[in-house]
Amino acid sequence: MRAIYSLLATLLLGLPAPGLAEPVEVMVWDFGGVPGHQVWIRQAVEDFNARQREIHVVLEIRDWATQRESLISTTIVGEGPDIIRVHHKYSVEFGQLGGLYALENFPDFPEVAARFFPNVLEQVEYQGKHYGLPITMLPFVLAVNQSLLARNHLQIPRTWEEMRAMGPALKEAGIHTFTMPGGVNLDTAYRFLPLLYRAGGRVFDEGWTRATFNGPAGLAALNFLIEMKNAGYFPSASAAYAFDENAAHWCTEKAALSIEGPWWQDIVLGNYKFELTKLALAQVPGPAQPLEPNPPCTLLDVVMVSITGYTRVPQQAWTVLKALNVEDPVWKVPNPAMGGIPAHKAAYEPGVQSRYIDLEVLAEAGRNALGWPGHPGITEIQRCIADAVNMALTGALSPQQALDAAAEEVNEILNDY
Amino acid sequence: MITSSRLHKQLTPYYFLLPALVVLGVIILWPILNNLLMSLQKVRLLKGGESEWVGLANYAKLLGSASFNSSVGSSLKFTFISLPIALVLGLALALVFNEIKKHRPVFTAFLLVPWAIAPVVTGYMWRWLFHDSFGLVNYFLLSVGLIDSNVPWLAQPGPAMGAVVVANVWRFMPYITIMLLAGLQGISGELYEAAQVDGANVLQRFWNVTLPQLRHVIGVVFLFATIWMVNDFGLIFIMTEGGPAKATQVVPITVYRIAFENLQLGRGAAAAMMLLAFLLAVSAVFIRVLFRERRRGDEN
Repeated sequence: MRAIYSLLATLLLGLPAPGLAEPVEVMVWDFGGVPGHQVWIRQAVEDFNARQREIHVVLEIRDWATQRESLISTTIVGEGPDIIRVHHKYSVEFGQLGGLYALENFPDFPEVAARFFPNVLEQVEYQGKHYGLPITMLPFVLAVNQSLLARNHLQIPRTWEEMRAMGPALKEAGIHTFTMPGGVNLDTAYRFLPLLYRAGGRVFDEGWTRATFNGPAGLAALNFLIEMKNAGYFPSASAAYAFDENAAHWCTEKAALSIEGPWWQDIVLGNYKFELTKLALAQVPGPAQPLEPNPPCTLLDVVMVSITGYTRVPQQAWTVLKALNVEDPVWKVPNPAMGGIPAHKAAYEPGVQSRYIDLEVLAEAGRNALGWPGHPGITEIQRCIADAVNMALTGALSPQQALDAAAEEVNEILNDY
Repeated sequence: MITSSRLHKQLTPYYFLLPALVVLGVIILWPILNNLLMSLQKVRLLKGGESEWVGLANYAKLLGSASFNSSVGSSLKFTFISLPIALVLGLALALVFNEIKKHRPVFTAFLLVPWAIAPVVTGYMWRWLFHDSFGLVNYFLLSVGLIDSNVPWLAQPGPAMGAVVVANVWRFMPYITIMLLAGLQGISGELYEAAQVDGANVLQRFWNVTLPQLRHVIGVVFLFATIWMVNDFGLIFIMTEGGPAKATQVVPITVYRIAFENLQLGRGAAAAMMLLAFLLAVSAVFIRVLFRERRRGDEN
C-alpha cells in the first residue's frame, strides 16, 4: 500500500499543474542595430515576456560585423539561436545550406508577406522560398548639404552632367562637389553600385553566368568619378576613405554631396552635431541618358529577421518574429533612431508623422531599388568591385583595366559555384 | 645488452621533457600539420567543411597570382625598410639612455608606452594623424612651410607605405631600445677603460667595443623583429586595410582575405604555410650565423 501511495505522490508531484507549464525558450540573436534600435528591442522583448507565459524570449545583442562568422559556426554545428537579425544577403548563402528556415512553411506567411513592399521582399527570396522578413530597408540616396548649395547659388543635381557643372563654383569656395569612401573596403562597392544601377548597368548578366559591371555603364560611372577627382571636385584622398573619414569630410562641410541612406540623418546629428536644417535628400544622379537597357534605379540594402534552420521550436519562433517585427507599433512610424526605414507598407500610409527628413525621397528610392544579386559568393564579389574602384581612383590601373580585371575574378567565382 | 635500470636511466631526461613536448605538440605541431593538410585540399566551409584533395594546386595558384606575389613584395618592403630604421634609432636611444644615471626607470617606463599600446589603437591613432584634412602631420608640415597643400598620405601607394613604416618604427623602437640597453649594461667597463688607455676616441670605442659586444643582442633583436614585422596584421589593416591599390597589402592581410573573407580555407592555409616556410628559413639562417659566431668566440 505504501508503495502505491509513494507512486501516486511521485506522479502528482511530477506532473505540471494546469497552466503552469514551463515556457518555451526562444533565443534571439540581434546583430548590430543603432542605439535606438537596441533600446527598442530590449523593451519589446521585456513587454512580450511580460504579457504571456507560453514563450520566453532570450535576447542577445551581437556585433553586426560578426554575423557571418557566427552564422557559419552555428550552421556547421546545426545548433544556435532560433531567430536572427542579419543582412539580407545571407538569405541565399545560408538559405541554400539549410541554415535558415523557409517561411513558406507557415500557412499565414502570404498574409504577413502582403504587409511588405514586394521589391523588398524579393531581396530575401532564394529559389522561390523566403528566408526572412525584410524589416528595415536602406535605399541609397544623395545626401545634400543644401546650405552649401544655396550659398553658392546652386540647385540639387539630377544628373552627372549637372554635378560636373557645379564643380567650378564649389571648388572656388574650397569645397568638393562630391565625396565617397573609395578605400579598399566594402563601403566603396556600396557607393559605386548606385552609380552603376543609375546608368542602367547590372552586376551580372541575366543568367548570372558572367560579370557585366565592366560594361558601358560601369565604365561610365568609374570614368565619371575619375574625371571629378582629376578636376578637383572630388577628394583625391577618398582612395583611403572608409565610412568614418567620408562622414567627417561631408559633415565638416568640405564636400556638398555624398551617397548615403536613411542612417545618415542620425549619424550626422549624433556624431557631428550637424545642423539638420542643412540636410536634404535626393535621388542618386545618373547620366542624362542610360548607357545600358536596364531600368535605372538605386541600390537597396535590407535587414531581415529570420528563423534558423536548426530551431527546435519553429512555431514559437514564428510567433515571436511576428510579434516583434510585424505587429509592434514601432514599424508603423519611420523613426531615424532605428537606423533604417521600415519595409512595412503601413509606415507610409497617409497621416503618418515621421521625424525623417525627406521621407518621401527615401520611400520612393526604396520602392524602386535593387539589392546586390543574391549570390552565395557576393561578399567576395563586392571585394573585387571595391578593389577595382580603388585601383582606378589611385591611377594604378585605368578604369577599363581595373573593371576588366575585377570582372575576370568575378567570372572565376561564378564558375566556382 | 642494455639492462632495464640502464634503459630507465637513459630515458629519464625524456620523461622530464615529455610534458613540454606534449604541450608543444598539441598547441603548435598539431595545428601546423592540420594546416598543412588543409593547404592540400579545397575546403568548403559552408558545406560542413566538405573537402576535396587538390594536391599542390593551391600553392601553384598562389605562386601564379599577381596579387599574392605583390603582397610578398609589400611584406618584404615593409619589414626591411622598417627594421634598419628602427634598429638605428633604437640603438641611438639605447646609447642615450645608457648615459642617463638619474631616474632611468622613469624614462624607461615612458619609453615603453608605444610598445605597450595595442596595435589596433596605434593603427587608429596613426590613421588619423595621417588624415589629409584633419591630420596633425599635414597641419605641422603646413605650419613649417614644408608643404603648401594637404597631402593625401594614405591615398597614394608610396606615401601610404611610408606612413605604415613610420607607425611601425614608432611602435617597435622601444622594444629594440630596451633590448639593446640591457646588452649595453652587460658590457664590462674594463673594456672601455682599456680602449681609452690605448687612446681610442668615442667613435672608435663605439665601433671596436660597443658594436662587437652587442652583436648577439642585435642578432636576436633582428630575428624577433623580422618575425613580428613579417607577421604584422593589425597595424596595417587598421591604417590602410592593405590599400591603396594593394600597395600595403602584406601577406597576413592576403591570408586573411583569402581564408576569412573569401572562405577559401585551403588556399588561405597554403598562403600561411608559405609564410611559415619563409620565416623558418630566415630564422634558420640567423640562428646558424649566431651559433657559428658564438662557437668561434668560445674557441678563441
